[in-house]
Amino acid sequence: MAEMWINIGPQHPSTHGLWDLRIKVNGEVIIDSDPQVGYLHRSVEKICERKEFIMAMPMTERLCYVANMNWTHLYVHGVEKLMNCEIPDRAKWIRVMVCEWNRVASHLFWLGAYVHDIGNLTMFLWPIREREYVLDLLEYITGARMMYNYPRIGGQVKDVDDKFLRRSKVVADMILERTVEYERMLDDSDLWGMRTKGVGVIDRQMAKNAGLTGPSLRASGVDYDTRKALPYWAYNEVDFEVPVYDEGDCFARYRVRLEEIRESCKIVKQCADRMPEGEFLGKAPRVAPKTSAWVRHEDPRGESMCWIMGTGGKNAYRTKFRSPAFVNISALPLMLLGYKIPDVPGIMGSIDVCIGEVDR
Amino acid sequence: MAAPMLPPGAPPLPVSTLPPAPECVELATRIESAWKGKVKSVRAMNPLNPGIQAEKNVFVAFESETGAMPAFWKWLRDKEKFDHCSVVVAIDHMDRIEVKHLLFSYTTHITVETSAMCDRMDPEMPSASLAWRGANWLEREQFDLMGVKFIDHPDLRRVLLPDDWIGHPLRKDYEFRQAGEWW
Repeated sequence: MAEMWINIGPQHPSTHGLWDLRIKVNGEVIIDSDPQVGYLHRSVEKICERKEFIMAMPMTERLCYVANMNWTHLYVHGVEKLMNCEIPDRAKWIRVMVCEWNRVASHLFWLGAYVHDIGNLTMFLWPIREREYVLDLLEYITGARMMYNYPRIGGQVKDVDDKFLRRSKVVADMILERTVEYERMLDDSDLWGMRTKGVGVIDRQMAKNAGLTGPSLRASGVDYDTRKALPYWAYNEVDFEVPVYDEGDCFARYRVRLEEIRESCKIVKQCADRMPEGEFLGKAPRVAPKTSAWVRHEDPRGESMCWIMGTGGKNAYRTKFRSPAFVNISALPLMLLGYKIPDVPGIMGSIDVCIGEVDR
Repeated sequence: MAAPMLPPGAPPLPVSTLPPAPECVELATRIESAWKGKVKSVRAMNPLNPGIQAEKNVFVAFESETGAMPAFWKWLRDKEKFDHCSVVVAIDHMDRIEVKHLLFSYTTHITVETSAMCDRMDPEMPSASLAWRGANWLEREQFDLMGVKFIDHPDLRRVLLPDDWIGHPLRKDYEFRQAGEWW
C-alpha cells in the first residue's frame, strides 16, 4: 500500500483552533504523525518582560479563552510568590471558587465540542446549555462573560456577595443532576463506546514519560493532582476526590473530565458554605525583588506553571508559562500510532487542545 | 550563580526561615554522595511560604560543566523515580545563558531544579529528551525562542516560529526590526 502524508488542518473542524496535524498513512493506518503549531504565536512571554506586572495580567487571560480565569490566577499567583505576598483568607476562598467554576465551564465546553466531533449532535447542546449558567454567575461578579480580568496582585478586584454564593449552590446542584443525564446519554450509547473505548490508548509509563498531565494523565492510571499534592490557596481545606482511570483510552479521558465536573461542583458548594469574612484584597508591593519563583497549578488541561524572575523593579526579567496542552500535543503521535483515519478526530479532541495557550 | 546585585531602592530578597523538608535533605545528600565532583552545588531549598504554595525543592547546579548531565538525569529517572520533566527555562543573563530543567517525581512530589550555564555566543548543552520524551518540545521551544542548542536532541527544529525566521526573540538584544517587518 502506498504511504503518504495527509494534513489535518490548519483549517479543519476537529482541530478546534489553528494547528496542523500531519499524519503519515499506509492505506488507512497511521504510521507516523507530526503536529505543527505556532500559527497563533504572539510572544506573550516577551511582552510580559516589557510591561508592569499589573499591565501584563490582562494579557495572560488571552492565553486560553476557555480557561482564562485559571490563567490570570496563575500569573498573579506567580507574581505574589515572587514578592512573597500572602493574600487574605477570603481572597483564597474566592479564588478557589471562581477557578473551580471556570474548570466546570471549560470541561462542559470540551464535552460539548468533543461529542460533536464524534457525531452526537444532541449532546453538543446540553453541556453548552449548562455552561451558560456558569457564565452568568461569573458575569455577575466580574461583569464579563469571556475575559474576566478578575484577580489582582494581593486578592480580587471585587468582593462576592451572598446572592452569588446562594446562586452558586443552586447551579452546582443542578449541574450535579445534569451530569447523570450526560452519563446516561453517553455511557449507554453503543456508538459512543465504539468510537472511544480502546481508541488512543497510552499506557501509564509512557504517559508519564511523555509529559502528559491533567485529566489525560489521570486517565492513564497516575493518581496525581497538584491541588492535592502541592496545595495552594484553600485547596488543603476543601474535601474532594481525584478521579483516576486505568484504561488510558479516549473513554477514560472523557470519564475523568466528567467526574472532575462533579468534584468541582462539590468544591464550589463547600466554598459557598464556608466562605470566611474579611478582606478580599490585601496589600501588595508594586515592585518585585531580583530573584525567581515558580508556581504550579492544576489547569483544566493539566499542569500549568508560571516561572517568573524579577528585575528589582516593576516588571519581570523573564516570564515563562508552561502550557499543559503544548506538551500534551507533543504526545499525540504516541496515541495515534496504529489507529485509523476515522479515529483521528476522537484522539485529537480527547486531550482538550486550546491553541491560545499552546502557541502563547 | 553569584548573589544578585540589588539596585538602590529595590525591595529586599524574600528570606525563608522554614527548614527544608526532610525528604529533600535526604535526596540532596544522596545526590551529593553519588555525584561528588560532577555537580557544583546541591541544596535542599527552604520553602518560602506554605500559605502561597506548598513546595519541596532541591536545587542542583552544574554551572558550565554540563558533561555529566545526561547521566545524572537518567540516574534521577531510574533510581529516584523522577518521571516527569515539568518545564525547561532558558534565561538570558546578558553575559551568559542559564538553562533550568525542573524535574518532578509523582511519588515523592519533590521538584529537582538543574541549572547549567552556556556561552552566550554559542549556547550548547545536553538534552534531557533522551531521559524524558516530554522534554522534547519544551527544549525545541527554548531552541526556537532563545537559541540554545541541545546536543543529541532527536528533533531540534523551530516549533512556534516559522522555519525561516531569523534570530531568537527572547534574547535581550533581539532587534524587533531584523525579522523583516514591513513597517
